[in-house]
Amino acid sequence: MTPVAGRVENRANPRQGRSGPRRAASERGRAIACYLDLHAHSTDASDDAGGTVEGYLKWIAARRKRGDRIDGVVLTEHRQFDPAVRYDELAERYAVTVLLGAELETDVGHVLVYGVTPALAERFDLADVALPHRELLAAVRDEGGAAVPAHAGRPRIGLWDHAQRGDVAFELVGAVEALNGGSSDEENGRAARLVEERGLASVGGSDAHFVSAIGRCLTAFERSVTSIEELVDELRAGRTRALTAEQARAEASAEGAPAG
Amino acid sequence: MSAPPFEQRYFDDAELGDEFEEEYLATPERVATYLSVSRGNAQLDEEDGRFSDASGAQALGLERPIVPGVMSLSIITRLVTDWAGPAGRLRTLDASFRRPVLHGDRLRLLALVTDATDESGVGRVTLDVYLENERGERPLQGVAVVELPHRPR
Amino acid sequence: MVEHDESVIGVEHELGSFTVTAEAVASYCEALGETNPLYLDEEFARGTPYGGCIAPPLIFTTVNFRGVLPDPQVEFGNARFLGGERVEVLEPMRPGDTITAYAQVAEVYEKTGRSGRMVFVVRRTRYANQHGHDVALVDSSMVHREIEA
Repeated sequence: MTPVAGRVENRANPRQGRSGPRRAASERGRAIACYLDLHAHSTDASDDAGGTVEGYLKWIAARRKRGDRIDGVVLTEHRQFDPAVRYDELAERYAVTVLLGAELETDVGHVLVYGVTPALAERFDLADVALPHRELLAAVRDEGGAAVPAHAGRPRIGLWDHAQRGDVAFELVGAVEALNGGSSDEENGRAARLVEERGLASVGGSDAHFVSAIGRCLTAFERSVTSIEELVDELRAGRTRALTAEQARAEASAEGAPAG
Repeated sequence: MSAPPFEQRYFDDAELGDEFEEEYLATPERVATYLSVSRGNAQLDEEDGRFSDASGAQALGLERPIVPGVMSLSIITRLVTDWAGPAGRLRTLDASFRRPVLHGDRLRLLALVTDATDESGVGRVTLDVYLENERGERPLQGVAVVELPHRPR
Repeated sequence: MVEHDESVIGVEHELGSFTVTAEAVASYCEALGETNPLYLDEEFARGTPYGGCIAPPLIFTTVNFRGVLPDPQVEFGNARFLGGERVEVLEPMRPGDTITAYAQVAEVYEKTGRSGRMVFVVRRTRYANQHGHDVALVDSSMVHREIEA
C-alpha cells in the first residue's frame, strides 16, 4: 500500500473557532500517544464480514509480538448502531481499546460517525442508503460527535466523486478517511489530493472485514484516546494523521515506544 | 513461510500470523482451459462473452475479459489444500468478490493463519485467504477452515 | 425491496446428478494446475487417511445444471456476477461417486456499493452421494447489477 504522500497543513476549522495551520505531530516533534484503527466491521453486525471481534483482538496481540503498534479499534458497522453492545471484557483481556461508531450511507458517499447518540438514531433512519449529508453532518456536529467521510477516493461511495460535481457541503467536513485499507492505491491517492486541496485533517482505517486486515491503516493521535469522547475531541480538533501499519511500526520503533 | 508441496502440515506447527503465498498469472489460455472442462455450468455459461471476448467484456463495463469466479475460488482452494497436506481436510471456504479478476492479472494468492483451536482433539485452523492483483486490490477475500492432524509422537 | 417471486424461496428442487470420474478429476486438475497426488495417484492416496483418491473439493463447480436452477425472477439489473460462495465440505467426493444436487433460493436482498445498487440472490445447493450422505453444502450469491451502456 502506498503511503499518503506528504503531510497536510490543515486550515482552521471554523466550527472550532481556532486559527492557524495544523501540522502533523511528528513535524512538531511530539510523540504519538496512540494508534487506532478507526474503521472495521465484524460478524456481530455486518453480513459481509468474516472477522469476529475476538479474532481481531487476537490478531492484534499476535502482531504486537511481531513489532506492530496498534492500540485500539473502532467498530463501525454498516448502517446501524447498537448502544447496548459492549466489548469491555474482551478489550481488557487483550489490552486493546475497543470503541463503537457506525458507517452510514449518505448522498455523498459513506460516512463514519463517532458519537452516535439516541437523538441521532431517532432523527435519522440509520439503515437508509441515501441520508442527506448536510443534515446528518450538522446533526452529528450539534450532538457533539464527529463525522468523517469514509474511503474518500472511491467512486460513488467516496466524497471525492461528489466533490467533483460540487455537491459537498465542505463547511461541515473537517476530516476525511484519506487512507483506507480496502481502497486501491489510486483511490487513496485521490483522497490524499482531496485532503491537500481542501486543507482537511486525515484519518486512516483498515475497513477490515476479515481478521488479518485489521490495523492495515491507522490514525495517529497525539493524545491518549480510550473513550469515544476522547476520540471525538481529537477528531474535532483535527489532531489526527493517517498512516499505514508499516509507518506506525517504524515510528514506534524510532520513538522507542513499546508495542501494545 | 512455505513448505515443499504435499508435505504434511501439523496443527502443532500452525501459529497465528503465519502466512503463505503463491503467484498466479491469470492468462486467457488458462481461463479457456478451465472453461473447456466446465462448459455448460449455468454460472459460467453466460453468453455475453465476459470470460473470453474483449467486446463482450467491455459491453459489461469491464476493462477486459474476466476470470470466472468459481475458477478463482478453485485457485485459492488449491493454495490452502496444498498447504494443509494430504491428511489435512478443507472444512469450509467462505469468500466474496469485491471486484472482478481480469485476464492477465498477476495475482498473489495469500493465506494467513488467524486462529488455531483444538476442539476435542480435532485441530482446526482458520485462515484468511485473498487474491491480490498487481494494483494492490483484493478482488477476492474470505475465510477457510481446515482440519490438521496432530504431529505423531 | 426489489420485485421478485417470493414463492420460490425455501423450496428445494432436485437439479440432477453427475458421476465423478477419474477422467473428470484429471481434467479439472490439469486446468487448475492441481498436482496433489491425493487426487491423481491412487497408490499414494491409499497411504493417506482417505484410503484412496478423492476429488478436489470444488470439482462440483464444473458441473452442468444449466436451465434448471430455481429462479426468483428478480426485476432488476441487466447483468449478473458471482458475488461470493460459501462451501462446507462434509465428506470427500470420490471417483465413482454419483452425486445428486438439490437447490433452493435461500434469500434475496439489496445493497449499494462502489458500483451502485445491487440485488443479491443466494442459492443453497446440497450435494449428496449415492449413499444418501450430504457431501457438500454450497451457498452461492449472484449479484444482479444495472450496467450502463
